[in-house]
Amino acid sequence: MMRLRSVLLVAAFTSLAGAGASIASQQAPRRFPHQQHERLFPVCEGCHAGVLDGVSEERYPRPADCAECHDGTRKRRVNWQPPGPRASNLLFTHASHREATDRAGEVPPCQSCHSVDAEATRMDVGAPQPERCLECHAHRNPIHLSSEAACRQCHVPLAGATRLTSARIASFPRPPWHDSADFPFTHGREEAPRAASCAVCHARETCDRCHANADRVPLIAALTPDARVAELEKGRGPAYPVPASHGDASWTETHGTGARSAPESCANCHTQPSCLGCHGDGTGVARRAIGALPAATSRATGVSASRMARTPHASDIAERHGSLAATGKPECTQCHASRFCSSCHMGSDSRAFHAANYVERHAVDVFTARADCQTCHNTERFCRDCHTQTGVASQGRMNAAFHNAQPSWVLSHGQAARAGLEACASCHRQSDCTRCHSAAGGWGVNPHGRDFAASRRSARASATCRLCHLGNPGGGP
Amino acid sequence: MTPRALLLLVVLLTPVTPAAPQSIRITGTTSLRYIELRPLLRDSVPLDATEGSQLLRQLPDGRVVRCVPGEGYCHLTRAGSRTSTIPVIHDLEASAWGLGRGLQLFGHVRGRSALGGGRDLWPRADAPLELMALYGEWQRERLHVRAGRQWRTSGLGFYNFDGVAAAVRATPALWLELYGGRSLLRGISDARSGAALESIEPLAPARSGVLAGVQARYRPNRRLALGALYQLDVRDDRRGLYSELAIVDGALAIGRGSLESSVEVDLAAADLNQARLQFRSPPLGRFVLSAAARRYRPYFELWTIWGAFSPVGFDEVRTGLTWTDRQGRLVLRGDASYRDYGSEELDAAGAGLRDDGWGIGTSVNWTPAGAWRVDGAYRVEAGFGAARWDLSAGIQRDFGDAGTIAMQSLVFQRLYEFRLEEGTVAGFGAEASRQVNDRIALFAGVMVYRHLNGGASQSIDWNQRRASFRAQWTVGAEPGVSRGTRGAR
Repeated sequence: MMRLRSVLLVAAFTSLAGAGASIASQQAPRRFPHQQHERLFPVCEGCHAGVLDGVSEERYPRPADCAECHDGTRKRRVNWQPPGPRASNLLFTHASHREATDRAGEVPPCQSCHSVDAEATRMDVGAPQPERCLECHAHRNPIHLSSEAACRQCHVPLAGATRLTSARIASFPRPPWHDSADFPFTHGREEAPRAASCAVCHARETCDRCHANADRVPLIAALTPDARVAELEKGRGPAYPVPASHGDASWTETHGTGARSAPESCANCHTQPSCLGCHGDGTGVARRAIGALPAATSRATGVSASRMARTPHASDIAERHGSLAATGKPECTQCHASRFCSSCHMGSDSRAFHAANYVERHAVDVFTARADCQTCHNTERFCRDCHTQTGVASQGRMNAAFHNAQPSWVLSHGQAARAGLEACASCHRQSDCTRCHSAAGGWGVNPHGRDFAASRRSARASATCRLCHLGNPGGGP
Repeated sequence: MTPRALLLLVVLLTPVTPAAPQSIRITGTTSLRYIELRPLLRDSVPLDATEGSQLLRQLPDGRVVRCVPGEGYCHLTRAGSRTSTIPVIHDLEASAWGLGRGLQLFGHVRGRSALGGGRDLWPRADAPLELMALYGEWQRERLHVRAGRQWRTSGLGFYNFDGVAAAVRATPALWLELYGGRSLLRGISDARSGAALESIEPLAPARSGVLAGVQARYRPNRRLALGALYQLDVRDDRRGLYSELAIVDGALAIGRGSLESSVEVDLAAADLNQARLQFRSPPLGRFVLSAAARRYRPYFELWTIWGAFSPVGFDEVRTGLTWTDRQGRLVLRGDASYRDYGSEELDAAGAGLRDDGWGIGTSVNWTPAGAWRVDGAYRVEAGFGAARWDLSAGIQRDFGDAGTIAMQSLVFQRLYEFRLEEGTVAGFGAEASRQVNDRIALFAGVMVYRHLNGGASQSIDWNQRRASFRAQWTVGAEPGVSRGTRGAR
C-alpha cells in the first residue's frame, strides 16, 4: 500500500512538472532556431530585409509569417515573437554600416559578423563579438578591453545609452588593466581624448566615491551624473591605497614640499581633516596647502586623520627629536600642539612613553644615561618618592643591607658614587651624605674631586657651600 | 592648585562660551592603573642563624646578610606582603579662542586620587588637585606672546614657570624668544621653596627662583638649522644661582641623511654636561647607517650638594644599521655601543668596579598586511652599576578608525644594583584601544609578570599583575575642523 502511494505521488509530481514546462515553452519567446530553417530560407534578407534598410518593422518576420507553416496541421503551432528594440551602447547601426560598405564597394555578407565562428555554416549565427569588427577595421589595439583601446570609436557614453539598466551596467566587463597595482595612482593622468573612454562605463558618481575634489577635477567634472551609477555606488565606501612614495622613511619630513607646490595632487585622496589630524588648527606654514584641499564630503571622506597620524617620524625620533626641536627642523608646531610635548615631558602622570614594566627595567637606562630622566621627571621628588615607598631607598642608615655586593659598602662606595651619583640621589637625601662629607657637622671627609672649581661654585651658590662649611670656602659673603 | 587659581580659570573661560564666533574645547582624560608589588622591608636574623665568618654571611636558603661586628644579629632585606593601589589621574584641559584675532586661553588642571591600600605607592599622591597650566596666548604672523603658568621643553629639558614668553620672527629664517618668571619645580606646580620638595629633602632650597632665558633658532636654508639657548635660574633674593645653562644645537641635512649635534654646558660649574654628534646616512640600497658619539657628565642644580661630589661621566660611541625591504614592510635594526668612564678620579676612588660598559640590540618590525604589525626586540646592556638583557615580542591588529588590539610578551633578566642578586621576569599581556566616535576614545591593557627564579633565596619578588584603563573625551569645537571630523592631537 505504501509503495503504491509513493508511485502515485511521483507520477502526479512528474505530470505537473511536465505540464508546467509545456505551458512555459509555449508562452516564453524562444530564440529562433536558424539552423533548422537553413534550407527553407536561402538568404538572410528574406526575413531581415529591414535590418540593412533601417526599417524597424521589417527587421524581423511577423509571427503571422511563421503561422503559414506552423498552423497546427502541417507543423505544430509556435509562439515566437520578434524581440523588441535592443538596449545597447554601440555607435554601430546596420544601415550606416551598409552605406559605408556600399561606398567602398565591399559589401560583407551577414555571416562575416554573425557566424558563431570560422567553421560555422551559413545559418549557424549568433550575436557578433567585438573581435570580429577588428578583423576588418584597422585598430591600433587588437584587444577589445586593452588600455590602448579608444572606446568611443564604437561606444556611446553611458549617459547616451539610456536603455541600459543598472544591472546591465554592473555586468560590464572589467578591463584587466584596471586591476594593476598602480592603476589607482595613474588612472587620472589620461589625456582628454582617451579619458573620454572612461565615460563609456563610468559616470561622475563613480569618481565621487573617493574623490572629495571631484568638482575641481576637469576630467571628473566632464562626466555626466547618472542615477543608475549612483544606485550601483550606493553603500560602497572610498578606497585609498598608499602610494609607494608615502612609504619612504623621510616622507613625513619631506611631504610638505609637494603639498605646497601641487596640493591638487594631494586632494585626490586627502581632505582638510587628513592634514588637521597632525597639523593642529591648520595655521603656520601648512596653512596654504591645507586650505587648498577640499572639505570632507559625506561620501568621500579623504584618508582619515587617524590613519595619517599613524605614519609618524622615523623610529628613532624619540632619541633624535631634541636637536631637531631645538633648531626648528622640522618646525614641530606645524603638527604638534605644545601640549603634545608636555604629555611626555610632564613626567609621572603622563601617557605611556616607556616600555612595559619600565619600573623594573629602568635602572640600566639610568646608569647608562640612555634615558635622561630629569628632562621629564623631577628626580628629587619622583624617584625618591617611589624608591622610598617600595623600600629600595635607605635614608639615615650607615649599615644599609641593600648594597650587599661589598662587605663594607660605606668604605668602598666612592667609585660607585662618583660614576653613578644620579642613582645615589634617587634614594638618598643629601643629609645622608653630609653625615660624613661635611666640614661643619660631619666627619670632614672631603668629597670634592681634584678639578673641583670651588671658588667658581661658591661665587654662584654660596648657600650650598654653607650646608657643609661654616664659612664660605670661596671667600665670598 | 589653590582654590583661587581654579576660580581664576573658571572666570577666564566662562565669558567665552556664549558668543557665536568664540569657541571652547574641553578635553578630559581619566586614567586608572592597577599596580601590585611587594615592597622591600629591612629585617634582621640572629647571628648564629647565618653561615660564614665575614661581614657578609649567608642564610641556609642562600640569601646574603650583612653582619656588624659586635652585634648579635645580621641585617637583610626581604619582600614584604603584597600590596596594591589604583592611582586615578584626571586631566581636564580647556582651550578657548575667538576672543580677538590670534587670542586664546588654555588651562590644564590635574586631579589625583587612589584606590586600594597602598595609596602612597604612586608619586604625588599627596597633591589631589594641581593647576598644571593656565595662560593666555596671542599669536600673530611674526609675534607670539604667552603669559601665565606655562612650560617650556628644550634641549635642557622640561621647565615650568609663572611668567611671560615672547617669540618674534625677526627674519624669515630667524626666531628669537625671551621668557622669564617665577620658576617652579620641574614637572611640579610648586615653588622651589614649597612643600613638595621640603617634605622629602631636609636641605631643600629656602627661596623661590626666578627663571629667565633667551633662545634663537636660525634656519638659513632648508639643509641647515641652528639653535642656541641660554637660561638662568636665580634665587629670588639674588644671592645665588640655582642653575646657569646653555645649549647649542645644529642639524644638517646631507642628501637624505643627516648630521645632528648638541652641546650642553653648565656655565655655573664650567662643566660640559653633554656633547652629542649623531650621523644618519642616506639610504645605501636598503640600508641606513647611523653613528653617534657622546660625552656625558651628570648635571645637578646648584642648590644641591651633589655637584660638589665631582661626579664622573663617560664617553660613548654608538653605531646602528637598519635594513628595510622593498615594500617597506620588514625593517631590521641592529646597534652596538661602548662607553668608557676612563677617569683618574674614578680610579682613585676605586672599589674594583668596572669602568666601562657596552650594549647591543636588535629589533624587527614586520607589517605583513596593512592591518597587522609584528614587533620583536632583544637587547643586552652591561656595565658599571647595572646589567640587563631583555627580549620582547608583540603583535598588533589595527582596525583603522575603530581602534587596535595587541598582545605582547617579554622576558628580561637584570642584576640588581650593587647587590649579589639577580632576577628573571617573564610577562604576558594584551592591550586594546577603541575610538568610540570622533569624541571618545578608550584604552585598556593588562599584563601579568612572573618572577621565574624567585623563591626563598630571593629577597625581591616581582610576581605581579598590572592593568590600566584610560578614557579620553572631547566636547566643544575643533579649531579649523568642520563639525564631525577628528581634531588635532
